[in-house]
Amino acid sequence: MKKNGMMILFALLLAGLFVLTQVLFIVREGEVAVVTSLGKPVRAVTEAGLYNRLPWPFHAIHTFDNRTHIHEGSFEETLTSDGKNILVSMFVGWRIADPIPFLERLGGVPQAESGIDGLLRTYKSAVIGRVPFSDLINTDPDAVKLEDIERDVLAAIRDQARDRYGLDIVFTGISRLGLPETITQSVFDRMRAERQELADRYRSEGQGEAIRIRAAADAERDRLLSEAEGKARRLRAEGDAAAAQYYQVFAEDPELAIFLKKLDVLRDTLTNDATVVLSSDTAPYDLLKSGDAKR
Amino acid sequence: MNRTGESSLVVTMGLGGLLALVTAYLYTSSGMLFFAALMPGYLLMISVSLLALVRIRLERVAAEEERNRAAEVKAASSGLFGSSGDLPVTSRRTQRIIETFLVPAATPVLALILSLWAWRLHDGLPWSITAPENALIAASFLAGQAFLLFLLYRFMLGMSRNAGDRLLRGPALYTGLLSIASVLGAAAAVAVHGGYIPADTLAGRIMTGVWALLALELVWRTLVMIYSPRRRTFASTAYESRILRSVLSPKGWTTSIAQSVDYQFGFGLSGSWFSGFLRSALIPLLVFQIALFYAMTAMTVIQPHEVGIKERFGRMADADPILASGFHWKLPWPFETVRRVPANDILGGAVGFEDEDETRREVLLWTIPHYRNEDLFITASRSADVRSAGAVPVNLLAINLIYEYRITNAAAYAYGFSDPETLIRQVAYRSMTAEAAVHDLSDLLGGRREQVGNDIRGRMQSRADEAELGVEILFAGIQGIHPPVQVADAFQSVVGSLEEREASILLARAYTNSTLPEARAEADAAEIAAAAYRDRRTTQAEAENDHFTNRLKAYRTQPEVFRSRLYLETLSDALAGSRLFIVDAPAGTDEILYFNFEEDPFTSVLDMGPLSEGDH
Repeated sequence: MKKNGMMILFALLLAGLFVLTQVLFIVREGEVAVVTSLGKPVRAVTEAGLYNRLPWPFHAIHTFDNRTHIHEGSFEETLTSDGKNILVSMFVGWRIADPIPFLERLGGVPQAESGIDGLLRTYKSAVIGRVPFSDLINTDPDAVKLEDIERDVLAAIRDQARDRYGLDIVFTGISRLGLPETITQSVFDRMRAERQELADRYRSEGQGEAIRIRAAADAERDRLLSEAEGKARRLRAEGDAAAAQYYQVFAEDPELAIFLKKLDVLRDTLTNDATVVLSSDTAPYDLLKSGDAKR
Repeated sequence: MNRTGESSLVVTMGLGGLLALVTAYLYTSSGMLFFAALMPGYLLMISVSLLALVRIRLERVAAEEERNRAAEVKAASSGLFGSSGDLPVTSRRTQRIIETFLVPAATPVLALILSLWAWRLHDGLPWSITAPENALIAASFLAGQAFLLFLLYRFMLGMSRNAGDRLLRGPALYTGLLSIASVLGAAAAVAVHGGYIPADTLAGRIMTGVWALLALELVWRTLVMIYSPRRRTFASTAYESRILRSVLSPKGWTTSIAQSVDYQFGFGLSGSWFSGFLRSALIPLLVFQIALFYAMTAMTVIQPHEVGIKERFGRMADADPILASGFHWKLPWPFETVRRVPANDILGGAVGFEDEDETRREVLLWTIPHYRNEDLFITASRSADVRSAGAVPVNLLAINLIYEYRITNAAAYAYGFSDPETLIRQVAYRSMTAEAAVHDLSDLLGGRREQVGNDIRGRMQSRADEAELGVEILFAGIQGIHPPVQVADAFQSVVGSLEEREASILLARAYTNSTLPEARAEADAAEIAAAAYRDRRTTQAEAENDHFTNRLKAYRTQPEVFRSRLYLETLSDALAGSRLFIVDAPAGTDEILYFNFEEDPFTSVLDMGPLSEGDH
């Protein structure tokens, strides 16, 4: 009997708990719930807390995450206004604005994401198609208009998302820029050519400088040598002038001077190996003819 | 005759068939894979019920026929006409045939079918996770089925305790098994409806395991049946699973446990007060355990790197919602829950690469990729000649950025965004892209890297504050930056060319250093030689001057003598070693006769001849 009483109490407790789960529900912070009655939405609960409801077939509860979701768009190729291809990836922060239209039109977060993806892709291409490439990439920081593009896309999709899907777009951002594969290859080629040009420039600078230095050295050498040549010539001329000065004394008796000079030449040219043929008239050998006769 | 057993078996079969059809329909319409796993149960239930029904019926009919025959025999023995003669007891013979052949064969046949089905379930059916529809309908159907089958099972099990209806035990056990399986399926369907899709696959796998176990046991029983000496009595109920019996008749297993304990210990342990106490206290103990588990949800421990947010009925508690690390009391489960946020941890991430490979190389070169997947960022380019139409004035760089952040506002972080880490990573990418788009390649590769890192941190922080993320970006820095691997060699060759330039200039300077001193030396030598010449000439001229002047003086005193003397002295010096030929030159002749007697002119008689001038 006592055991039966315990069991009955336990069963009653379980039944009571079961009933409670059917008439109460909790909405957590960051969630939003829609109460539908036999399929028709009745009310939306946006504040967190404990609420009551009717059991199953009469009321069904759909809960959704009410926080801001981040949707990453795909890395897609678009065209700028001046016809250049660029890959752009944007991300969007969105949240549920009206839970009841959200449930009716979308039904869940994955469906919302695909809806937003569609909107994003359309307006992203449209907005980027209006700006030239230099608004995206530019060495001048003021010319780059990334934030304006983000704002334009946000403005374009915000109303649509609100009206069509009951979603609130909080922010957008451009997360990545890229180039298609073919253009990437040509950019690589250009980068390589640029570096090549730089390398060639350095090399030729070096060669030019080397030639200049060598030429300067040669010029200096020539200058030194010609200077020295000039000086030497001057010195030699000095010597010759002094000698000429001294040779003026020969003017006093030119005949004697010539005679002495002839003697010098005689002495210098008649070397040991010379074979000399003299006439017997030549002094002193004229003595051979005249002998010891006094002449 | 109590035909309740038979009718209950008929009910079981009919109900089983109907439920199997509904199950098949629900399998196709809802897509819940568990229904496919449930089908073998119906087969077991129906076939075993059929077998039991046949056996009971045959037994009954055979007994009736025997009674009739006995009555007939009695009547015939008192009558004149042996009217019918010996009617063969066909039912008894049929029964014997069935009992000898069909019943023992039932076990291996069932084992075979069950194992094939289990194998098919394990291997062939697609256990991929798809979202079943109408899970709630499936759940309610399974719950109802469980209830009905449970009633049948208890009823038949109770009836089987009577001696005459013992054959009902088999069908009862299989019905009970199906009932429990339906409960499992209902629980899985509720879980699927609640969002936990893998529950379906899990329940299906459990059932596959159960069928496999049952098949194994039936194979074992077949073998025992073949080799056991108690063949006939064992064979009659070989198809009843012993495991099922021990699980589904609880009283059976407590008594069997008690019996085995008694056997082991050698005395009536099961009769002691302790085991009696255990038996009576088992349920309350279980309940107390559950209550204890529940009470433990009233306590919570927050780890040192975390911060807890207390939520009462889902919304943030009004008083002191933020719980610091340590132990805290709270209301048990549905009333208060705790959401954990890693607020004391330094979290971080990376942009531009995937850092999963743990193989670190010693030297990171620009020509080898640093990581497996590296993103290329577009940077602006200052090259002036690239403004031609169609050309894209950009460079590409591989940049590896890392960032670190800390949660400052736990509530904002937890309740503002569903995936804050992704948001921060996207913001980091955005900041990096924006910074790269306005800088030139040489700025980023060169000395402004740190500055750019700080700028990125600033951008990220302002964006995070704008979005009210509740984090503080502690650090952002460019960990590695290099030109794409495909053009890295061109960059490296620029450095080589700088070296070449230096080399050219240095070689030219060396040339200068060798040429100029040489030239200077030559110049000096020329000058010195010229000076020497000048001095020599001057001295020589002076000497000649003096010489001449002296001689002039001497000459003037005695001209003739002076001349002759000087001439003759000179001649004697000059002709000293020379070979002289003094020839008498008569006037007017040009002919000169030359005789050289030093040489031997006549070498032989035949050689005599006129000497000509050309000979010597």
